[in-house]
Amino acid sequence: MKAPLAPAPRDADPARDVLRRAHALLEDHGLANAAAWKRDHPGRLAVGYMPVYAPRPLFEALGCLPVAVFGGGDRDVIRGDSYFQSYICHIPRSTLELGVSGALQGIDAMVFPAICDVIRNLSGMWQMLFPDVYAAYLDVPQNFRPEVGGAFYRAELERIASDLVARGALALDPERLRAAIVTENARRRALLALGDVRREEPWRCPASEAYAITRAGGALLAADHLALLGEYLAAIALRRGSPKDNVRVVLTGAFCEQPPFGLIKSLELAGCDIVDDDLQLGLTYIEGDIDAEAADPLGALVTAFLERGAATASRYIGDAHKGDALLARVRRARADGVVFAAASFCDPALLDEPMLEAAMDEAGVPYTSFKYAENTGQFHVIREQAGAFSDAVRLWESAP
Amino acid sequence: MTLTDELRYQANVNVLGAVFLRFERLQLEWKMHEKGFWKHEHLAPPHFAAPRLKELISKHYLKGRYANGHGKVAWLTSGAPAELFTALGFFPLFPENHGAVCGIRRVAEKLSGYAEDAGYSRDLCSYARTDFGAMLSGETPVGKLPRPDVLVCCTNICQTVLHWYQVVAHHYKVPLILIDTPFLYEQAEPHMVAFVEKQLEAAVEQAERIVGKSLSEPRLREVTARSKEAVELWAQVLARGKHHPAPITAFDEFIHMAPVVEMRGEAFTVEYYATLLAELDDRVAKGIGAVKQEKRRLIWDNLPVWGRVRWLSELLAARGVSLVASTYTNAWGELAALVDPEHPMKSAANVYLHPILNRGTGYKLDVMRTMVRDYDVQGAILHSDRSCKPYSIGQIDQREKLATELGVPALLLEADHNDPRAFSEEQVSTRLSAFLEVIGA
Repeated sequence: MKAPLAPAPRDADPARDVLRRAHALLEDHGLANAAAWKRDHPGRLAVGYMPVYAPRPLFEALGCLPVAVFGGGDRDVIRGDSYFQSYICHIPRSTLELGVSGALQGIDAMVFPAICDVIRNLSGMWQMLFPDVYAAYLDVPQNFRPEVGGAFYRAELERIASDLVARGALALDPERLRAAIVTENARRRALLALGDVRREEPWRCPASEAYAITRAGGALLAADHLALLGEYLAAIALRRGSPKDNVRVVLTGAFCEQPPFGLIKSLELAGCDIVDDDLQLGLTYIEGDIDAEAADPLGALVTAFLERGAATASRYIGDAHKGDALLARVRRARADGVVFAAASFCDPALLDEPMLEAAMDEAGVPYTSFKYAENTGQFHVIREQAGAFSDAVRLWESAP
Repeated sequence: MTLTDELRYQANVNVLGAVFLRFERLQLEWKMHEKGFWKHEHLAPPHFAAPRLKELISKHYLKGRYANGHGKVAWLTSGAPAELFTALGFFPLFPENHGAVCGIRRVAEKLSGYAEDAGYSRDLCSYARTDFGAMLSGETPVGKLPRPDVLVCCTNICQTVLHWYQVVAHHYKVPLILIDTPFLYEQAEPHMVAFVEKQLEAAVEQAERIVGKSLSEPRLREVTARSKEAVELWAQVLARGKHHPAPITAFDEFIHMAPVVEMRGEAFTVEYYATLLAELDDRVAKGIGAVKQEKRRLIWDNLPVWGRVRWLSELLAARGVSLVASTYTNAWGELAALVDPEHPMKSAANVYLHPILNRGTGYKLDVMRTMVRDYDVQGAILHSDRSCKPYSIGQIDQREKLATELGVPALLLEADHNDPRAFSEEQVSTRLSAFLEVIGA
C-alpha cells in the first residue's frame, strides 16, 4: 500500500517545486536531463555549447538537444588547472575538468562560439584532447553586412549543420527550423515577461530565482523551458508580499563565466534589487522576434543575428556609442545604479568596463565594480561593497 | 595640410632629421670599427647593420612626429594588411611596436600606470595598457605620436585588439576599420577567404574616402612586391640561425624585426635586410657565432620580454647557450610564399588569414617540431606571457609533447612582454639555471 502524500504546508511558496526542478538542472549542468533525453530519443545528439550566444533553434531543427556548458561552477578543479596558466580565466579550467573527468560523456558535440581568445583556443585543445567528440569553433562574424558577414555566418552555420548531420543529426529541414524559431520566439517573450515582473515587482521575483529559472533553459528544449517559465510566472503571481526598501540596480558583466549563485544572493542580501542583468544574455541575445514567416528560415536566423544582436562586449558595435545600450537598460529598469561584475582575466569585459563606467558618469548613474571568478567562495567583501553602495545610493537619493 | 605644416615636415624630417640621423649612424659605425670597441666576454659584437636599424626606426618615428599635417595617419595592428594603407599614402603607426619601444626604454610600467588609473585592469594586455597610457598622457619615449585619422584592426593576432581598438576609436573619435579574420584549424575554406577579401575591398573604399584618392593598382603591386621581398629576406636572415655557430640569435632578431613589421613595402626595408643578410653570410663564412662559445642551442616561443632582452641574452650567453630561433620572429617570414604581388588583394586575404596566432595550437606545435629538427636544438623556452593569452594557451600541453615526442626539454617561463612587474629576476634566474643544467649547459 502506498503511503499517502504529505499535504503541502498552507504557507508553502507556490514556486517551490518549479524552483527545485530548476536548481536540480543547474546542479548537474543539465547532464542527467540530457542523458534522459537521449534515452528517449535514441540516435539523437546532445550538442554542448559555450557562452555567450549559440543558434539553438538550428540545433533543435537538426533534432539535437542544445546543452549550455557554461563552466563547472565551484566544483573542484583537479586536472583542468594543469592545462592553463594562472592568468587565464576560470571557465576553461572547469569546463575542461568536466571533460577530462568524464562528466560530459553524454555530450556528442561541442560548439565554441567566437567570443575571445581563450574560448577560441579551448576549442583547439578540445579537438586534441577529445578526438572522438565533434568540436566546432563557430566563427561568428564581427562584420554585419549581409553580403559580407551574413554570407560568411550562413556558411559557418551550414558547415556545422552538415557536420552534425554526418554524425547522426536529422537533415536540415526548413519547416522544422521554422517551428524551432516559433518556439524560440515564444521562449524569448516569456523571458521578457519575467523581466517585466522583475522590473515592476522585484519582491515577487528575486534575481537569484530569475537566474535559476532562466539558466535552467540552457539544458532544455525551448518548448520545455517555455513550460517551466510559464509555471514559474503563474506561481509567483500567487505570491503575497510587499516591496522592500532596496535600491534598484542593473547587474552587468557581459557574462560568459557565470558568477557563483552565492554572489547573486549576496548582492540581494546587501540591499540590492537586481531588476535587470545580462547573466544569461545568450538566451535573449537576439533582440526581437526572428522572422518565422520568412521563406528562408536559415536566412532569417542569420539576419536576426546581423541586425538585432545585443550590444555586449564580445560584439563589435561599430559607430554606436559604448554605454548607450546599458544606459537604455538602466532607464527602462528605472534603476538607481549599476553593479559591474567582470570575471578575472576576461579581456572583453575588462576592456569594455571603463568605457561603460565613463558613460554612466556622463549620465550621472552611480555604479560600483568588482571582479569575481566562478569559484569565488568568499562573498563577505562583495556584500560589504554592495551594502556600502546601496547605502550611498539611498543617501544620494534622499539628499536635498 | 597647410604650407607651414609641409615646410615643417620637410625641414624636420628630410633635412635636419635626416642629416642628424645619418651623422649619428656614421658615428656609430665608425665607433664599431675602432679597435677595442667590443669587450664582452660571451657575446660577439653587434651586427654592423645595427646603426642602420637605429637610423631607420628613429626616422620612422620622426616622420610620425610630424605626420599630422603632412598626410593621413593610420594606426594598425601588427597583423593588419599594411600594404594597402602604405600604397594609399598613409603614414602607418603600429601601437604594438611603439609598446615594444616603451618596454625596451623601460617606460611601459609608467604608461601602464596611467591606464590602470583610468580603470584598465592589470589583467589586460600590457601592450594595450601601454598604448592607453601613451594616449591618455601624451607621453612617449619617441617624442610625440601622431594622432590617427583612421584605425585598422585585424583580428588575426587576437580578439583583444577588437576591444583595444574600440577604446582608441572612442578616445580619438576616429573611424575604425575592422578586418575580422576567421580562425583556421585546417586550410582556409573558400567562404573564409571570400569573407576577408570582401572586407579588404570595403576597407580600401573607406580608406580612399579618408585619404581623398583612389588606390592605384600598380602602386599596390609595387608595395606588395617590396613587402614580399622584405619578408623573403627576413626568412633568410632567420634561416642563418641554422648554422653552427649561429651568427644571429633570436634576441638579435627581436630587435632586427622592427622594419619587417612596421616598414614592410618600403625600398629601404628591402635594402636593410639585404645588408643584414650579407653580413650574416660573412659571419657564417668566418665561423663567427653570436654567442662566442656556443655549446647548446635553444628555441624561444612567444613574444620577448622587451625590458629584459639584453639581460636574458647575457645570462644565456654566459652559459654558452644560443637562442637560435623563435616562433615569434618566424611568424614574419613564414608566409612569404603566399604573397602574390600580381594579385595583391586576393593574396592579402590569404596571407592575413594565416598568421600563427590565427591558427590552432596544433599548428604552433608543428612549427616548433620543425624548428627543433631544422635548427638542431637541445631545448625550448616557452615564454608564458601574461599579456598574450592566445600565444600562451596550450603551452603546457606543447611542453609535454616536445618532451615526450621529441625528447626535447622545455621550460615554461612566466613573465610578461611589457610589464616589468610580472618579471622576477631572481625567480627567472633560478629557473633558467636549473633548466640549463638539465640540458647540460
